[in-house]
Amino acid sequence: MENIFGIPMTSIMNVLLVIFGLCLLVGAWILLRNRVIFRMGVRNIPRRPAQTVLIIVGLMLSTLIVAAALTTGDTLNHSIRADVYNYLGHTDQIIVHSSEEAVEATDMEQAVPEGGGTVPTSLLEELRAETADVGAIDGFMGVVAEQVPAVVGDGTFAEPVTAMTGLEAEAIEAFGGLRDLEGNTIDLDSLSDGEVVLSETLSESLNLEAGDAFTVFVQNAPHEMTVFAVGEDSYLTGVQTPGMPGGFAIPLSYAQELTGLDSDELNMIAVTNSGDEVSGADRTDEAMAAIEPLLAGTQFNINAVKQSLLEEAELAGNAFSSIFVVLGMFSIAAGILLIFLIFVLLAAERKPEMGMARAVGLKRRQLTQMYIAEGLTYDLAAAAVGAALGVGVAWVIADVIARLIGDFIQIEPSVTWQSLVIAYTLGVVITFITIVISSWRVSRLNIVSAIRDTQEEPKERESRKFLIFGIIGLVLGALMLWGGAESGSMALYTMGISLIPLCLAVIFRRFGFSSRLVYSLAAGLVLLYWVLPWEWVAYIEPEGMSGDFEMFFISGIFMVTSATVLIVWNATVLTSVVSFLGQTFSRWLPAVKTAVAYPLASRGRTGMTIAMFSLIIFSLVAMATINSNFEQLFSGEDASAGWDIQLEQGAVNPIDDLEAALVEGGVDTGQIDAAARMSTVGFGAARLRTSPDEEWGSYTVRGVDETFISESRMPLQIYAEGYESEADVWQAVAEDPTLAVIDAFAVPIEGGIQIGGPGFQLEGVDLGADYLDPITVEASSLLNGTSGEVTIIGIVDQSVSMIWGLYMSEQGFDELFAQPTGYTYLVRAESGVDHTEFAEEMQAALIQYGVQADSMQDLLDEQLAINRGFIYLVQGFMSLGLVVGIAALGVVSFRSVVERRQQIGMLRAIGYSRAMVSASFIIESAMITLLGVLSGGALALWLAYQLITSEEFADFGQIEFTIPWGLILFFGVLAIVASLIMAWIPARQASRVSIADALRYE
Amino acid sequence: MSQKTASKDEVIVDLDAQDAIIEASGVVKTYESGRIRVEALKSVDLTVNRGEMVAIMGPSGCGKTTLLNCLSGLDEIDSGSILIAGTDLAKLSDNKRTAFRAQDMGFIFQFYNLLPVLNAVENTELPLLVSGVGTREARERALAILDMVGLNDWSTHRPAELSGGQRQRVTIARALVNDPAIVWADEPTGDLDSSTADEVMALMRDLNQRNRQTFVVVTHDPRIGDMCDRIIQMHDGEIVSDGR
Repeated sequence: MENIFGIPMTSIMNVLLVIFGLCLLVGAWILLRNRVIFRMGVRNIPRRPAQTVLIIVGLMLSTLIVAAALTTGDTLNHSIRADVYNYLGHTDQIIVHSSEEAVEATDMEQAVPEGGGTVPTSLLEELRAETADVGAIDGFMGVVAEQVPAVVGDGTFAEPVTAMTGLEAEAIEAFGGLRDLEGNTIDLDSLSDGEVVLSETLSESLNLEAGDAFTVFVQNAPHEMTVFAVGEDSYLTGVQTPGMPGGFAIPLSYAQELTGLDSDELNMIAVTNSGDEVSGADRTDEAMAAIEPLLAGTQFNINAVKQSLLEEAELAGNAFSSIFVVLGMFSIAAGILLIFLIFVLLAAERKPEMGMARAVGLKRRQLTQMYIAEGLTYDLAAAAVGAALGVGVAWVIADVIARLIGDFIQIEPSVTWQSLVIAYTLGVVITFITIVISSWRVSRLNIVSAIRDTQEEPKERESRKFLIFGIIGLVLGALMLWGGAESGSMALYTMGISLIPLCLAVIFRRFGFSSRLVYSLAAGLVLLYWVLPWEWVAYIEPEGMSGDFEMFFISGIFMVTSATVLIVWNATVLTSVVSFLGQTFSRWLPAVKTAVAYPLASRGRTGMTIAMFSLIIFSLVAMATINSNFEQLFSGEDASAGWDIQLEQGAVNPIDDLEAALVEGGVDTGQIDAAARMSTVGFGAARLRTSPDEEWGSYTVRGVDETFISESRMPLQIYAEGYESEADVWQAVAEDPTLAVIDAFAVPIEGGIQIGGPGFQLEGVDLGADYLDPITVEASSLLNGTSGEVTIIGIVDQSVSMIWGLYMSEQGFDELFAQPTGYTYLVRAESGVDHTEFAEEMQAALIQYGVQADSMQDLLDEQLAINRGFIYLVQGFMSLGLVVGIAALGVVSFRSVVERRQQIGMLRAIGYSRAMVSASFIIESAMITLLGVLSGGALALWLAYQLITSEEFADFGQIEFTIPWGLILFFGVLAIVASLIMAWIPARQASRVSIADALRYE
Repeated sequence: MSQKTASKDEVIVDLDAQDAIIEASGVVKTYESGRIRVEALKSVDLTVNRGEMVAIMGPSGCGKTTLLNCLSGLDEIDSGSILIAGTDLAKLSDNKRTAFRAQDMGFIFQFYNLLPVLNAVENTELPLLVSGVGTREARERALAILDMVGLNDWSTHRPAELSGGQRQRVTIARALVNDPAIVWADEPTGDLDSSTADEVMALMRDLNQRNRQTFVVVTHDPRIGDMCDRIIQMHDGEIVSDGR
């Protein structure tokens, strides 16, 4: 990958390497200046091996998450690139007929537009002559490509869409040549008319081998073909992406004859650059610079197809990395808390020896250095383990992605050294900064109370420190608030508004106000700000604020922080619950009492652990709930606009009369309630823009018939003033060829991460407005260069998710484009008809027309399954953060056993049984986890509810808010069970403490 | 002393009926620390009668605390026998021994060993709750005993908010709240100044005389010993003298 969040990876790496170097320098400086101090720090590491392992696990998690995110991006980037190289082979650019400049292809199928205008062979000769001495160009090849249906015998095996590719035999070697499955060269010149080189994939799906016959239909005429040889899957044999049915190669002249082209007409000219599949792409700019001037002023354009697809691979990789990094931020935040907690607990454990060290002359600075030396050693080791495990996690993610979309992309796990260096150095730097802060904090100890291991009384200077922090935070918050209001940055504004009350609380505490009162008040205010209905908050926010995906993270951090502060300062209310429980479970009451009392007394560590669980559960529950509601929106009754079966067809074998064709194929058309037709110019071949100053953007344009308009259930989200109803709008589209309606996906979503390519976006639409201001767009076809204007008067509701495009009347479509790339028939079946079976029946009947028929419900289910798979994958990745919380519980529990050893002895002496001691520890862990799970879950549900019931969401469609209880319960139970397992080991340890030894323990 | 209701882990013993409430004979306890073997108790024989207040004294490391731990069942012995009101603690399961301690013994330690996270009354009522006494009754009895030790105004304070003497009073209250037959005290005044130590000992003595509870007190302090009925002197794991 080259970029993430728009920042070049090389720049990120260089900056991180510099900071990493500084961290190492600090370590080296301590080693050289204070060898004894360094050794004292490092010698702590082997003292408790189990604790060391736990610390490394805790410290490595941030690195693991970053490494997994970046490696997932690398894998996708590499996999898509590998597919581009595999299937495009030596083809680097293509030259096609177009009156306009070329748009960049956004997938491989678009690389070869169907049914476009022709390219003369004279151009091919001219290019060869003019570029003979251009070193970057290795050759040109005339190509005729068409999508045709193929049928074996009586239809036992059939493929509605296969790629027939006519190739210029004498030029083919420069493009890698045709090879059979053993790697032997196939001489295309030796093929007679009717003989084909079949791609391996198609040979498998049609069950054909050399010598077998099959039929293809071109312009509604059948042609008998014989398999001359089975060749490797490649662009030359018609396989452009994995999962495609494949195709076959034939000599150019025969393809011209079949498609009705003259001998001097081609579909396109393929260009190969010097070098192999990979290095050839690097010379694209050079080749383009040589060819473009030769095409200037002609109707022909060159499309750097391989380069575009490689850029697309890069974009997809970046987008996935960004998604995983952003979603991993909750886990990283929890990881930072864990690192801090680990060092605070380490310091607590070593308090007496630190006190002694200070007493015998060790300076605070040296104590800090000692911790930094120890921490840096852990840090360097943990980041290495984290990076390695992160790659392992990415491998698992790759495996899941391969299962989800392996039909479309061959997923090959891959990692770049650059990603590893970034993950490692970032992990080291984040941990190092946390270690330095916590080391500085722990060095501020009172020598006497440290030696006696007693609680330190707050000091005047300590309070002054809080005052200074409070003032700095307040100023920072005010600056953020002001900066956010000025720049319209929602992130800055909300961070500022949330920081101010919390910092004020710190300041008020300095002046003797009750800590509980000021912290509860401040946290309550912050929480109130975040949970208030958005419409109310809008009153106190300046206009024009905008935020992106980062708002999810910021809202989570502040909601969880404020809720956690409220909980830890007011958890005494739990004691009444305990009393109540005590009456019911009196036998366990003492265990419950101590289990509740201990965490309430250590607000810092309890709060941090609750916050860790809360953060992760917040992110998981919010994601699950929002997705579940979106799924409900997109898979509702309107998803397929009231149609049951979709029949897709290329333009090569048009059907004049669908019903007649079905009857001819033996289908009982009495099962059809209604059938509509849409002529289509597909994505990549049709382009839209709102003004001549704007960039073109690809979009699907459809000419719809009367049946479509009268029978579709296509609710509109918004439409232009002057129309009385949605039906009026559709009627206007039917009657006026200059009017159109477009789907809601054209309207960009604020804060969304775009994974796709340069598609058309309808900017400036306020879906919440009463009426739509009609928008005139210019539409153009790359097939024949025609263009014209249409006015959009309505936007289809998002609930229609299975059909999309710019809809206009057939008349308007014909006037504008004249030539479609294909047709879509939509069928509504009579009730009681099995849609899947009927679709199969219709496909079989219309196979010679190249019709691909599918039940809309099957397509929707397929889409939802992929979508759910991705969501589960992302949730699985986010659940890694639970490991942070569980590790924190482990660290706290192990520490508690040591810390409370004497008290455990006393409890055992006064009558606590072993079971009661271990129950106390387990209940304590369960309670902390439960508080985190409940607060995170409740906040996430509220956020999701706010989002789904907000005016902005209502603009997309009205749905009833639903909660995925099953999934939420699963997350909660997972967190609690895992923490109970984690708590079980220290709890068991605690119960086995020897009473006499424990009472002697100091 | 009343007969207590028995649960499955409880041992029913009529402590009131016994004169010799603690009978130890030939008690040996050895500690091993690496290659070093320390004989902490060398065949100790001892009998304590009900209602006695006995001081165990001797130099550091002589085995005082070990003897107390072994007698009270907090530690296990290598050989010999210890009968508490005729019951051999070594023959009880851990759960039964624990229940026995909860119902019939009270403990006072040098460093109080109060739970810092609970307030005075919560610390005091803990042995009652462990014994299965209801929450309301436990609270009432805990408040009553705190009143008896002069801490009725401090019942909601946590140990950190109390002075050393007050903390030790809470410990005494906790040790007595269950109306135990035996109270074990390990250096109960070791962390207190002399006047507070006198106060605490006076309190313990008063309770001993009022309730006829047996007190076994480990101490360095000869003044504390003087307040007891009997002084047992130990040296190198052996009882070297026993009397006033």
